[in-house]
Amino acid sequence: MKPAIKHALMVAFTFFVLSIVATLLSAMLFMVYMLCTHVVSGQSITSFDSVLFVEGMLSSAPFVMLASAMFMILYMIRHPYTHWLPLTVYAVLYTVAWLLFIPAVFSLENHFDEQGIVSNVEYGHLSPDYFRNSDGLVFYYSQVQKDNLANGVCIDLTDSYGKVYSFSNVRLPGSNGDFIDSLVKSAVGMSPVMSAIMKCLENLADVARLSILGGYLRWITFATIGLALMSVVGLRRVSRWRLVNVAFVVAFSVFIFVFNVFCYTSSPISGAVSFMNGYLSKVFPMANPFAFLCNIVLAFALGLTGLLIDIIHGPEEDPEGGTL
Amino acid sequence: MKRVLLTLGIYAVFVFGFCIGGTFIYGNAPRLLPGMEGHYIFLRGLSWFFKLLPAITLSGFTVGCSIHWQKNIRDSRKRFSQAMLRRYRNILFISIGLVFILMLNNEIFLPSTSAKIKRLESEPGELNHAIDTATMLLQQDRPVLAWQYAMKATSIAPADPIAAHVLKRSIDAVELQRDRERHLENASYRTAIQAEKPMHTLDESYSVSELVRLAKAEVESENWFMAHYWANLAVEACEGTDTNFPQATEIASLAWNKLNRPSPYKNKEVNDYFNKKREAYNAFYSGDSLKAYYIFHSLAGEHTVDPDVIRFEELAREDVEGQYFFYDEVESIPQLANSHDIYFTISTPNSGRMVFFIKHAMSMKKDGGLVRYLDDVTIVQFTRSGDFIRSVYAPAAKVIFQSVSAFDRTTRIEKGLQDEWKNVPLLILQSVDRKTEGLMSKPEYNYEEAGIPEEYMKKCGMRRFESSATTSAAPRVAWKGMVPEQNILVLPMPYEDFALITDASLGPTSMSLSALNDFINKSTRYGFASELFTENFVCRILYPLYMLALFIIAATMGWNYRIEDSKILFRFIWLLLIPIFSALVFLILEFLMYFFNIVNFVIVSGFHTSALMIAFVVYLLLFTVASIVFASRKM
Repeated sequence: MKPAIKHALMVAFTFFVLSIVATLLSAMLFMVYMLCTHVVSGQSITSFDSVLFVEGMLSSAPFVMLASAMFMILYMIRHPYTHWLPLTVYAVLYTVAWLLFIPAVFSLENHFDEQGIVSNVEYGHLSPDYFRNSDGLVFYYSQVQKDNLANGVCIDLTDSYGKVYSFSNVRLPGSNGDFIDSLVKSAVGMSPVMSAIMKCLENLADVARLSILGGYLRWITFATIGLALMSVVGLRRVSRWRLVNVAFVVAFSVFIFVFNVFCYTSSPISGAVSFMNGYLSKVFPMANPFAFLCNIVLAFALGLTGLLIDIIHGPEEDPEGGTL
Repeated sequence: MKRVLLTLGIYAVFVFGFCIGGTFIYGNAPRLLPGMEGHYIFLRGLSWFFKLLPAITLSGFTVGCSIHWQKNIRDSRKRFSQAMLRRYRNILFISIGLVFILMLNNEIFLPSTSAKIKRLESEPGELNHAIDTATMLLQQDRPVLAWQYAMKATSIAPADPIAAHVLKRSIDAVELQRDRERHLENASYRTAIQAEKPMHTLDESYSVSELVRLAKAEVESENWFMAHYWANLAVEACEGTDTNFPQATEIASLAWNKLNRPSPYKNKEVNDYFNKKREAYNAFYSGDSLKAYYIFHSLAGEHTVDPDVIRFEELAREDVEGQYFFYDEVESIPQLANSHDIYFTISTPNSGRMVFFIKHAMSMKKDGGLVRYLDDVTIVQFTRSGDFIRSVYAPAAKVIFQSVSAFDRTTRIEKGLQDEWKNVPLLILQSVDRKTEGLMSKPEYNYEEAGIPEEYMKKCGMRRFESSATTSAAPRVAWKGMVPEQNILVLPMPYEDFALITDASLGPTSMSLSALNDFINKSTRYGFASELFTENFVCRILYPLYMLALFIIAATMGWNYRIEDSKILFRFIWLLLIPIFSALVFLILEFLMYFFNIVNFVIVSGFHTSALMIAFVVYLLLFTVASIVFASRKM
């Protein structure tokens, strides 16, 4: 088989396999995490919940596809082969992902929401006979009844007096989507760094859904993120040392992503962004012209860089022949 | 492979320098004791470095491998080549070394640095608290306690003039008090002891001749126990040359001999009863009042008609209940309270659950074992179904160990003591101050619930239950008077567990691996979630294996993205790559560690006792796959 075709196929293979595996893994993680929010100490995590799993798949698929460009580029760095075929396959696949797959996932999500399919995992009651420390107040429930009434003891560790308050017939707070058992939370809860990252992802997903609802044109302006990410391929030959290229590609991808998140959601640079948007919306009648412009400019710059590098350094051959 | 280590070493030193430099530039130390700023800032930089160490080593290792494999790779044209296996062996050795360092980092370097930083941060507050308390205690004329707090203050800040001044004042006050005590000692001592033992007091109020007469009467009716008791009291009451002395001693020894006959009765059951009674009396006579009480108590349960047993049971109970410890027993310990905020629960077979909270605890070697002094002890008792019975508060308590063999079978079952426990804790809730008259602190029993303060209820989202027509709270049982109020508690748990629980109250992360291992099986018994502790244990034990797998994967990456052309000279500008790379690795590691955490939790939650084995297999599999992938690399 001609090496060009082989490389092109491998790029496609990377895209599909990685996307599917990553989506499945993320869905698994999502399902397990949600199950942990329901579980109480002394109770085993119940087995597979298909509704949560599907929910996990639908939530993570857009992000996986967003990141797939980066992974395809990493493959191309590993097996350098300058030819129009693999690059075209790359571009086509990624564009299709943005213009077709991601909107499809969102509409599927909508469909499920409308159907009202909810998982049947119940929020149980906190198990008695455990000490639970939350912010210096240690609670011990000697008895928790069905209607969430509890007897027990509250130990005050916040001051130096060590007061112990016994109580009975206190109604415990209901679940609010967060972990029901603070003990489980302390084992499995996310660190502040991770929660911040997750919050960013959620916010961006919300913005994306809004964009789709606003019509296809609006979605395309949002999808310029994809364009910018796609153009990172221009950096794949920045240095002779491939690890440097990896670092550049990943760093730039992360930067573009973070920059867009900051533009579209409330962030440290929101003030500047809205100022620019106010200024630019006279010319560009869209929701966030600043982000749109920045992405286009970035895409152009990176694409041009890549083109120049290819012209200066000439085509590359892959000594390993294209296999993983 | 020297180049890999060299790269890594230089990089680590560079980051270390960066951390130290950065922390000094950042400055911004919180309020500290004078002269501690430099130390604190340095420690802070050190803790930054330790937190970054995994990312540093992983990224440095990857880069080092990548650089090293620029040359000499012609020998790996096929997969699983000999050269590749040789490389694998090399990186495995290096990885094991690095993983070992990371494990030390996790278990020792990072926790101890964080602990030191925390201590430095809390020292000013503690110093002020110690000085204020010492001053207050001096004003309350409690110099011994004041002295202890002053000693604590000076140990925190030896150079502080105020602390030294308070210490001097306390020492002077203690001297004064000791002088005073020497004059008053005998009088107040007796008053304190006699305050609460009515039966003893009554018996001891008889004159010597009355006691001898009572003894003689018992001799005639051949009640040797009572005869010895009265005679002994008479002997004790005699002061030197009392005319009744020889008679009293004679009766006492006669009775004693009669008591110590082996098997005086033909009937086996009566004999057993007699032996038991004698054992109990011996214990009573030799001062082991607890043993005596429990044996008499069980005898009284079986045979209620024996007036001796009833009488001795009451006498022994008075002895037991009258037990106290002297509040200033702790005089010789310069340092106060080495553990704080200890909580646990015990369930007893008949009395439901008891929740213990100990604000401060101090342990001391005494009488061949560990004795603990506790401050601010609260015990809340619940029925088996979880209804409130009462709460007990003692400002001071002492825990000594009591051997299980002191209790007989029935008592052991009644109290829920297992035979395999060697010693159980005995909690003494009553304490006496040597100089004041009467008892200083007795446990306070409270049959009303304290109720959670409103602000805490709001903070936690709780609401008080409003009973309506259809639903109402369970009727309250009036427990007062139904459960005996005791000053001595026998805790149904092995004495050694006390130390484990002290550790556990701080959380699994601060426990040592061996303590964690011991505690896991017992945790639920004391009210701690075993999943939490097991998960922590599994994470810490398998961290090296997981990191090893990650290092192999990192090496694979290093190979995959190495410099292709072996003729190219190394450019130092490439080294700027490493920090960017490390930042990325740091973020990725956050996710990987979280993944590790949650997977372990699921395994623990699903498999409980065999969780460690299952998790080990999982990560071994990961390591094997990573190794195979690496060995399959080719040029």
